[in-house]
Amino acid sequence: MWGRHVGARTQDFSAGAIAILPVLVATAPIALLFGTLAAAKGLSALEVWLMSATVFAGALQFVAIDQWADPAPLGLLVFTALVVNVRHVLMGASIGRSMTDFSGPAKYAAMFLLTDEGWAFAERRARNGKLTAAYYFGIGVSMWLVWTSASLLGAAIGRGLGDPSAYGFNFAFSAVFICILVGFWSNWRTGAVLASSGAVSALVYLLVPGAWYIIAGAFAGVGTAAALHAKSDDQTPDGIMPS
Amino acid sequence: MTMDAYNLTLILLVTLVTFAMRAVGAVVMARVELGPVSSAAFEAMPVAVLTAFIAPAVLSQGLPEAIAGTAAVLVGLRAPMAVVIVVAMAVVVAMRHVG
Repeated sequence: MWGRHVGARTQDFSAGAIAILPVLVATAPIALLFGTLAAAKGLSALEVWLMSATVFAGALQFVAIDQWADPAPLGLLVFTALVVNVRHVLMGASIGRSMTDFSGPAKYAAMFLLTDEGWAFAERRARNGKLTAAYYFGIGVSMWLVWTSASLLGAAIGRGLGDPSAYGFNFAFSAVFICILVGFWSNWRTGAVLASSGAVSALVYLLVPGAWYIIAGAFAGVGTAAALHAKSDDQTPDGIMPS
Repeated sequence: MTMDAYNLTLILLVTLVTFAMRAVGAVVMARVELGPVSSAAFEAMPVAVLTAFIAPAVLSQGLPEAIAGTAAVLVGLRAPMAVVIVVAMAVVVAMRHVG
């Protein structure tokens, strides 16, 4: 149960939608491009909309459309989905701990709407106070609406505005993530996590094909945090204990 | 508006895999109790995952992205996000034209 009165819920929902607004502006041309590319591969507008509405994962959808043929390679696409989205296991594990306010079904709905950008905003909200379900869905629902309608539009008109990367739109997302990272800074430990994660990620990206750099970098950063904690407090590391 | 049965199956299959990835972390980890070290590890997770996610996009693409990334950090210390996005986009486009 959300357990809060409607006014506060509406307020939180709007706060989430307003916070994510800059991301929505950058998302629309990217979704438009996706629709265009998918239509060029022979998908109908309805199929493009359905993919955006149910898969709802930008990076994966671009990779999938790139591999799309007639008939599309089923095994390859499923494997691609696994590799590209395995980072969401980590993101879910992290943000799931801040979802104390969410009912069971709300939690599943929230995870269906999980995106990299939405996740980062939710983590920031959780760090600065309390993450409510209303705030989360303010982010998630508006992202979903923009992503689905813009990709449908792209498929329907068949031509985008050209390549969004020519206008730097793809880098807009990096800027958003950098902003959120800057806000996460607390002390030198943050720097240590950042440095180890970034270095390992960039290195693995150059050496290993696929999206493994995210997992590798994440584990390097998390490992650094654990090592620093173990060293400073000299407590017995008791690991993960199932309750 | 047409919907091919094979395409439909494929889209739903990819949806299923994607959703499973998203749900498993949140659902399993919510039931796990953490000790002090693993708590510290989990607290670092947002920074670690976010950094690993964007590092290649900023560091491994070339000079324009690296410079725009640095600009985003510096502007991000003071300015709101919308300003940082516009500055970063402008820098990356300008640098690509220069370089």
